[in-house]
Amino acid sequence: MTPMNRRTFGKLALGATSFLAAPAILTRNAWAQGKEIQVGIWGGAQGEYVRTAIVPQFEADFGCTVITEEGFTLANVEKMRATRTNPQFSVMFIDDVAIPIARDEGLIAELPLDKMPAAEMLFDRFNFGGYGTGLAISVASLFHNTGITPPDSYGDLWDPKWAGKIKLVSPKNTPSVFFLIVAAALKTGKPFAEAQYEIGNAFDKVAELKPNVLNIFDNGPVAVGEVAQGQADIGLLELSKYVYPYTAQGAPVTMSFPKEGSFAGNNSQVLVKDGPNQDLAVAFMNRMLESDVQKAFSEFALTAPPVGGIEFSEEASKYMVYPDTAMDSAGLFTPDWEFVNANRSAWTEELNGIFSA
Amino acid sequence: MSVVSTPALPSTEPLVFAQTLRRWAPGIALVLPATLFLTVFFVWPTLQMIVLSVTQRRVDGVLIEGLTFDNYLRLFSNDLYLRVLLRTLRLAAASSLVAVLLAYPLAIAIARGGPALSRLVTITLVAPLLVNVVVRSYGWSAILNNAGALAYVLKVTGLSSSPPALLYTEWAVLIACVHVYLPFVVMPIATAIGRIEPSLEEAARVAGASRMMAFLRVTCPLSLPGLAVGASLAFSLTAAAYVMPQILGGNFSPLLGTLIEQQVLTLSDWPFGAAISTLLILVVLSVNLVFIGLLNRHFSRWTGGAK
Amino acid sequence: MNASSVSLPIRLLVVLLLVVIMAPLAVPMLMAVSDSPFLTFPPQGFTLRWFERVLLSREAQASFLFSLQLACWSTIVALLLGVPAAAALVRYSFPGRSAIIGLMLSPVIVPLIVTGVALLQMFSSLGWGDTLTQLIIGHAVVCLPYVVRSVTASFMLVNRDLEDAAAVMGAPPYKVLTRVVWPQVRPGILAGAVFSFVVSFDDYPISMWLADGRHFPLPLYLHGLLERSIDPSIAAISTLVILFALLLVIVIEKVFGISIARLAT
Repeated sequence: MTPMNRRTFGKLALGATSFLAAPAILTRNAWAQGKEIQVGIWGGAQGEYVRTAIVPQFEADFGCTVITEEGFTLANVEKMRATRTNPQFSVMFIDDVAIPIARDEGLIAELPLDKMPAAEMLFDRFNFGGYGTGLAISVASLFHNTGITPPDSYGDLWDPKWAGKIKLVSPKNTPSVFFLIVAAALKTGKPFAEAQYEIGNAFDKVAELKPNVLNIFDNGPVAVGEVAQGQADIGLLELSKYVYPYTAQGAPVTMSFPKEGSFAGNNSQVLVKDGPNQDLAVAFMNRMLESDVQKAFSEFALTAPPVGGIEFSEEASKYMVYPDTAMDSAGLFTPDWEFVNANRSAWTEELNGIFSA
Repeated sequence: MSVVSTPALPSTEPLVFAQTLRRWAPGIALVLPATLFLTVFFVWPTLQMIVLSVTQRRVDGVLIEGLTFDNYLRLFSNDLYLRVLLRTLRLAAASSLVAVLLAYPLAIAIARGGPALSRLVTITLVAPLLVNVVVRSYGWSAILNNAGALAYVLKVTGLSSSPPALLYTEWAVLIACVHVYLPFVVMPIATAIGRIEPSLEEAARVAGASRMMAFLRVTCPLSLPGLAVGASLAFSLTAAAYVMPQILGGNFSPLLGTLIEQQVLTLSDWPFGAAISTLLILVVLSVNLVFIGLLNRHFSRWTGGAK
Repeated sequence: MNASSVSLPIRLLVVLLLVVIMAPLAVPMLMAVSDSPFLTFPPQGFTLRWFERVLLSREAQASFLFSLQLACWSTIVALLLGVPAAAALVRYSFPGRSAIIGLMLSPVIVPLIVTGVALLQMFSSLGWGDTLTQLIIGHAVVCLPYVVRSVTASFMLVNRDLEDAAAVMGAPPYKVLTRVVWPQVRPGILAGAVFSFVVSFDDYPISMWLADGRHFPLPLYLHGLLERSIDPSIAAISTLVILFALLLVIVIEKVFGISIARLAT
């Protein structure tokens, strides 16, 4: 389509950081003038950044309006479901765990990747079969108070010396699945990729941890803060994007990566099916993937970008696992979400049973 | 004031029938807007949700349509749900009982105290209600944890050298629930006490009753409408709570509300969430009805003296 | 009222209770002036910069004002519906009275999360209503029971003899209403209004489903802060809310001439 090609050419020619070309781009984006889309974003530092830094520039470039609404993955999916016949949102930010669900229920549309030039630099592992793209990659692992020495292996946490010193993540949050995979891996001795299918047999191992658990948290940042204050020594598990902002501010808490491996938290975006102004929505999703946007975004939120070819300062790279080669060597593992989603209800029931006895 | 009883079927005689209708008319007219409003915007959507519990179920993450009792069968197949139900009832009952006990002194202070005391108590009760329940819960968390304010006070006053861990137990949840719902219990009771003629209490004292006796025999029964309102409200609200049990119970004491939230938010298992909700609704409703029924039976006798 | 009608032991107990009630609120207040860049307790240092940040934040301001607006509207709707209903339920007889009493109080019994999504699904399938209307309706539904409860309790204690006496003395019905009945039910209506306002202002489970980017009540904003903010901003907001509540109480007393102390009598 002619306008798209000209815009792409314009961007390449002028360089991504040259917003002086805004007037020229504006006329090229005349098709977008006056249109409006609603985007469901997350809360957190990332959400704020999207809202205050990325959106206004996008609105200026396209002469459009973007209404952002903060939520979280599961609520966003629910909103998509409830408004299915009359979609209000055009783009939704959700975690990768929900993409298969949304796709199977017909809530999201396949991405027109030909209209998204920035997607060319997307690492393959983050394109979710064409139904979404990654936006920000964090690492989930155990976090701890800097006053103690963390164990090398997850298995050490079952030792009585940790009694009452561990904060465990609630089944409400995605990292709870990671915890179950860890328990299964410890019980079966298999790597994460195989152990995840044995979770059903690993609940006795989970129950053994109970004396060491101080409480079960559902709010990550608060739990990290509490560990920083020394209420507990170890937190099991949380995403780096919630832990490292504290570390960067000087709080006595940080992450450690036991030898069994760690997990990838993939914040992603999807295109809502039949949402208003699809073309503008696609342009927005494309904008989110552009290098300069991703660089600034990642440095702000201390997450890694899903696209290649970005250079980071040493200070920032301390907190991220990037590029994809580094992700491989860190053993960043993404579970089989289809399998997990099918069994999550039963697992949640088991966890409830164990911890409410 | 006499209790208005439900009218018998209208007579078929035209004149009497017309008169009956005319008698009903003002009441119906006044109550109609609210009734319609709730029927359309509450009953209808809620019923649709509840119907889901018998028309859909989620198997392995997939939603299947069709008449089913699976969701309810599941509630009974795992003793987890019975345990959680009992815990919910226990906590709700304890919460309303403690709230009522604590409410009376505060209500007396409001209704019978001097202007300064009355104002102080009212403001202290009402103002914090605007603060978000999550913030208040974390406030309690900071006080009750093993390095928190309570432990500090106990140590310093020498009452206890190793304070018990209150946080992440049912006690912490109870304390927080009472704290949050207390104003809702105090105000109706205060209103009720305020309507009691002081001369009644004075008469009892003059007749030789001690303060406590006067309170138990005169004030208490006459304030029953307020107590009924407050206690049933505290019970119902505690039964459905999920924020406080999570933050303060450490999730070791999930209530039905916690489970419902999990089903709705995390697992998107609407039908099962609706089934648990239905269970909760039925239980709370029954308790409310029984309680109010008990009170109503003695109501007219005890409040005959209210002026 | 005679101050000595409250005995000393009761007064001591009351003061103790008040201290305990305020205790968990002292925590965010102390955190809000703490000088560390992340939430700690006990606080370290002293600073007012979190208050400055919160007061200058346009989102915080917008959220707060929106919550106020929403709470006022919800309360008005709840009062308009609830006060006549309460009057009818107590003073008139008509078929289905008991059932309707149950109906009026039922929103408290159904978990709010369920009510919220149920409303979202209904509004969405009808494709109807702008967000503000939906929020007001959703809030009014959950506020109504508080109004009805308070006002019925008040009506039940109205002295019928006084009304009869006034009527016998020749007062027309509207005068009986305004001069005899109204002063007796006024405290119940005011209490109901206060609770309704509070419930709406603090609501999260209904708002989380029905709100949108342009209509974003304070509890949603706070929730977002909790998930992102590692600094004491949320404590600062809570402190400001408490101060605001105190201010509101004073304003109500002065403007409406209603003594809050006499709320109950």
